[in-house]
Amino acid sequence: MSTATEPANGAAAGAAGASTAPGTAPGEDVYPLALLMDELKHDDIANRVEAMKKLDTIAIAMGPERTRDELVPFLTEVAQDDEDEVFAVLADELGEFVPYVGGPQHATILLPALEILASTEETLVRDKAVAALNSIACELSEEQILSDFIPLIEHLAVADWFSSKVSACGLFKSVIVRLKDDTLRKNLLALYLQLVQDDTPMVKRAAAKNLPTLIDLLRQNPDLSNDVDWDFISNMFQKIINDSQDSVKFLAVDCLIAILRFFNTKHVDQHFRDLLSSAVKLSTDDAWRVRYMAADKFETLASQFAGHDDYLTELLPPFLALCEDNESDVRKAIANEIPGFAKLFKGTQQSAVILTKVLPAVQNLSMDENEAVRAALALKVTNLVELMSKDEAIENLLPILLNMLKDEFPDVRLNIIANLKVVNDVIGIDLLSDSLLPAITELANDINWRVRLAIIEYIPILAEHLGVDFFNQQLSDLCLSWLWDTVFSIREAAVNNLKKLTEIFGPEWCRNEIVSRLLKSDSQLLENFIYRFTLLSALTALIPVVSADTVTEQILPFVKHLADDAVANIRFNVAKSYAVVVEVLAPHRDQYADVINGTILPSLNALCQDQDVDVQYFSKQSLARCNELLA
Amino acid sequence: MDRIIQQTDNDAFSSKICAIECKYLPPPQDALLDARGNKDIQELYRGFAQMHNEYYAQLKEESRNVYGRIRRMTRNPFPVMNYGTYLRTLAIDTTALKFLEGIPQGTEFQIVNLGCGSDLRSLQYLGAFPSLKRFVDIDFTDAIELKGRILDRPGPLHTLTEQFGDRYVIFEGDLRELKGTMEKLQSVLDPSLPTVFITECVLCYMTDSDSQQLITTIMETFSHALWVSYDPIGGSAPGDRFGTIMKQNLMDSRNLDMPTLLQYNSKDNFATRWENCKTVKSEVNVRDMWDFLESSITTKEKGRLRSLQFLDEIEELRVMQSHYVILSVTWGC
Amino acid sequence: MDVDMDVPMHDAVSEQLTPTITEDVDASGDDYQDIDFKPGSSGIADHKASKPLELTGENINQLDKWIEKLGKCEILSEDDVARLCKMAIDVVQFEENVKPISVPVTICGDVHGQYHDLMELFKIGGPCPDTNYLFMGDYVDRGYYSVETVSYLVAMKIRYPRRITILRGNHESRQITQVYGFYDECLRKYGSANVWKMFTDLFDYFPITALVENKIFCLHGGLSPMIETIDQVRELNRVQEVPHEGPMCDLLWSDPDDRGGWGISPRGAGFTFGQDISEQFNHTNNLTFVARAHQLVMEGYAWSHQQNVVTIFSAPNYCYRCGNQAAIMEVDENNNRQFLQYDPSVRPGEPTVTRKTPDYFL
Repeated sequence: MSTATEPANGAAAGAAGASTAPGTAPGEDVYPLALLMDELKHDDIANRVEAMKKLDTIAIAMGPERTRDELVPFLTEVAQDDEDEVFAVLADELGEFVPYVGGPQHATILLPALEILASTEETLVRDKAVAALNSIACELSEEQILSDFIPLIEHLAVADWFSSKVSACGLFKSVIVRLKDDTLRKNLLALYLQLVQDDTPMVKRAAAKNLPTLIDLLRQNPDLSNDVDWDFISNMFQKIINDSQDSVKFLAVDCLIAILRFFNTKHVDQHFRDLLSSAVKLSTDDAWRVRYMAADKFETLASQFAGHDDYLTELLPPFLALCEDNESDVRKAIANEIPGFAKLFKGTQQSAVILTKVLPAVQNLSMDENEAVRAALALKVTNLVELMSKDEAIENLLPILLNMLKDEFPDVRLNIIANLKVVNDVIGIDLLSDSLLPAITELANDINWRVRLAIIEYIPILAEHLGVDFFNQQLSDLCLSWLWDTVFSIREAAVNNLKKLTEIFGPEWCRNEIVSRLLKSDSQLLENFIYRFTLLSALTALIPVVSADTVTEQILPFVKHLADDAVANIRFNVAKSYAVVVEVLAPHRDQYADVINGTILPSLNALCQDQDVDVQYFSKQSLARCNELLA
Repeated sequence: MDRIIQQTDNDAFSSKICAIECKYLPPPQDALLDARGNKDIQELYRGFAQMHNEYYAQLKEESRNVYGRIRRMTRNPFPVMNYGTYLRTLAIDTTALKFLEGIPQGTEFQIVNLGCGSDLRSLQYLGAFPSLKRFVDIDFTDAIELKGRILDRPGPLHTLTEQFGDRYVIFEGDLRELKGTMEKLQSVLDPSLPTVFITECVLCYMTDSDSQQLITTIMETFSHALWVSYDPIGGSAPGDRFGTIMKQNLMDSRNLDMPTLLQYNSKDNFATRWENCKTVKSEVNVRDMWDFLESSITTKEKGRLRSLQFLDEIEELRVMQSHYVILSVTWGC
Repeated sequence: MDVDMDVPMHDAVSEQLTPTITEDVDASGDDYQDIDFKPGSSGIADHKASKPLELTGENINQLDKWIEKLGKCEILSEDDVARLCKMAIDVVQFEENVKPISVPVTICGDVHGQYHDLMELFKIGGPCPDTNYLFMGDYVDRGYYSVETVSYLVAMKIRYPRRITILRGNHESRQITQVYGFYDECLRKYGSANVWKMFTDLFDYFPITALVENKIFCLHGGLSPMIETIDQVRELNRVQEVPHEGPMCDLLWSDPDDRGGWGISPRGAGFTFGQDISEQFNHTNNLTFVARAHQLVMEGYAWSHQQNVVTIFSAPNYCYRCGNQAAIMEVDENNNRQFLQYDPSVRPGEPTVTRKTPDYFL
């Protein structure tokens, strides 16, 4: 292809300069099309795909007129039979082709090829064709929309083949609010209604899926829509919500939300009674997928009724039913929505609803047989605290949380612990601590290292809430024990954890509670280089957050004693450690001159002569860094 | 969903093309330890490679699109897949042949390939058995239309199907719409004749109740028959994650569901759907494919297979093949 | 049947490379005919140094940049791979057939292009160079990231030659990689077979065995009837394509078996060997045990032959479908051993490794 690109680039420059058709350009640019045709006949699909990707270059070379007269018709032919990979590229390319055919006034010439691609069976190709068509539609004039684009939609919508109809559903959004004429819009909606009632579930699904977008567009253009439009939409919604197929019906939930939004924006509430019935109907549908969808969107759905307390109250029974649903997926979905829904109630009603209705449901869900349900509940349930008085929370919610901290499934405990902050803010964490400790200890010993990692990462947050005394008594042993885990990532996290704790509790605490204890580590343990390495890493990590005296008096001697360790990996990490020490001491170099010049630098120099190349390398790096710091 | 299931036929056909290309198929005369079926095996696989290659070539003319999908899949044939394709092909045919041997010489019989896709057993069996009265291929509309168009294209395949005349019946039918499908089947089959039903990776895509109804109805309708089925099982050993991962992989990558994979997760569980049909007394036999490889293939044939490609995945082969089963159910014998 | 029962394996493989059915319809068949089977055709070994590569500040910089890039699962350019392989040859060609290793060291089995799981391995065992590693081969094929995996390990090998050892597995071979995916992956990711040629030329120089503190003999496959002493391994000429038979082939292909003595391998190369054989070998060579990889084991590691042989396999959920755990073996400086098992890495926001489905029979 390299021969083709040169004239192509030349022509591109020309085309950019003048908009008049360079169709009469020199004969050599006959070449690109012939070459493309050759390439597209190639048996190897890779060649055909590559050729397709160069369409823009070729179009530029040919100029708009010949692109229209020769290239586009040829591509329309290609769109009849080739492999999906080629189609996918073709659809993408055509979406960007408007400038190459001479601008929007000629853009409709691209539609036939895309119409064919929008009818293929491969979803990926279809989606790309629909995207391309929608992007072209943006550039079309209202006249072109009428003369070309709407007929295209009509073709696709009445085709025999379900793929065409599915594609049609995705195109209405480009035209629905561009038609100022009410009759035309009415016809279009009538066509859409047909799709909603199609024989095949695939088409009905596509129609139902796209309906909320159309409603949103009408909402954003309030002056356009009239009552006739609403009759259609309401009709469509009725069809969807009463469909015999669950996979269609469950899409009614999103449609309902869109409709409610529309009326809320318009401040029209005469339909709310009916729409509330629909919400209740969906929430209590026989098909679990429908109920699942309602549960999954429950807060959003209910929030459309916010301000109508009586309507919200009517949503309570279906809400509670969802909490007791037979399907665990439904319960899992609603468990996520509980605090959000409870929040919609206001004032005294809120507290009554929470205490008498919501909490009993929460209580049940917290003991659900399915662990995923309990884990989902744990993720949000703590937020209920904010909706309750301190006393109410202590009396009614706290026992549930304490129980969940004892759950056999680690994710439940982790999720509660991860979201304790809000609980702490309202009722203080001390009431939880008795249950918290066993929960943490058990998670700390979980067989799955990622669970162990997760709990380590929560420790600094907990430490902040719990305070230093509690921590020293109950958690510091645990934090140190993580250093001796078999999995590297846990040891690494344990090291970071110590650093973060020191940032919270201060250098003095670290010196007494951590550093001195670390230095008394079991000597048998330290016979394994992994643990000497971990200890070295831990102390090195603490250097920047403890006092300089702690460094020189406690940490440095330990580091130095490892300088002649038998294991090279330890020695080069000693070298790295020295640089960290010097970084801390450098600002006070006079005060610590003895240590720097008498201990660190001689040891580092000796390491530079080590027999191991890696020790040499890292020692030299460290030494250079030290010299830089001390300069 | 139907389309996604239909596309699995492309997988099956491309695997067969690979196994032919790499010379796993057709098997030689002495592939099987059970020597009785070997004469028929020869007969059955006559022209096997040419037949499939011809179908593949005609497919290219009929639909560059489908051809392209299959060609993509044939790019890199792993030995473990070729072994598996070889084993499934051979296991189904030997099971069928064993049943046919039990029928008195010259007795008319029938074969039904449920969810046939592009499988060409119809042509193989009709050519090999003059007393095969009817071979019925049945599948979704699109699959049957494409197959019909390919077999209608001028060429050796068309000549062959013309020869077979009305012994070969191919029609569209949804196995889940049992009433219509049974009506069609009964219009071309004699329920009193010995009949072989083949389901090769078909039941695994059906819901429990659909597959159970299909099985029960067929068992109650036909008086003397063999059902041979090849399907995956999820695995039942403690800590066995094969089925869970398989279900997840297929769902994630192509939205393909296997509703009963984890339910019928062992050989015994798999057999229950036939045993459930209490009104018909049947003999059920299920083996996993690793067992089939170990105990049914001759040492000499194993040597031949080894020489075709380096099989550096013997443990993986074992993991996979022990999660696929061949079932044979006979009743009315 | 026109299949020749005695067809040697290399013929069978090359036959498979010119598929008969697509010959006339698929031009990609032409690619195969271009393959230059000759070892050394990439030219990376044309100007080998006479002494081991000494790292300069400049090439350390370069290597650190490559390692950073590869650490993000991004491939190097073809030119960079050429430079990488040239440098690597000047490191590994000087290593012995039996590479002496001192403790502590962490010993790992097959990785097979499962790049993300290799990163998981380092999360479990600790990063290199802080932890010393010995990999027993099979970096490429089967997984979808063979290029990234082998590039990463080779870059680490050059950067920290004392901290990491990479042995040759039976998949580090021209013929096997053409069947099992590395060749195709190189074509797909680089558009030509050049990178494949460079790596396979480099593989010829990889050491084939290692000896940890004179006590643990480490290799990819297993023992060979032609090898009784470790000294005999030292005498082999290893710089060649993995042969179809003979001691070098066996070391990379054999498997331990419950049956005693030597047996025919179901893999078509190498042998199976019984406990009597491994006991004798360990006794003769004064070894504690043999550590090897090569076989999928569901727990990630498995002792056999009454602790005379251990198998270590470090590719969890092998081929994205086997459901196995992976393991590595840490040997500390006092020769204590510890096995660490692990599961596939979790990749948040990446529900499937790739759009490609692992193969099933459908």
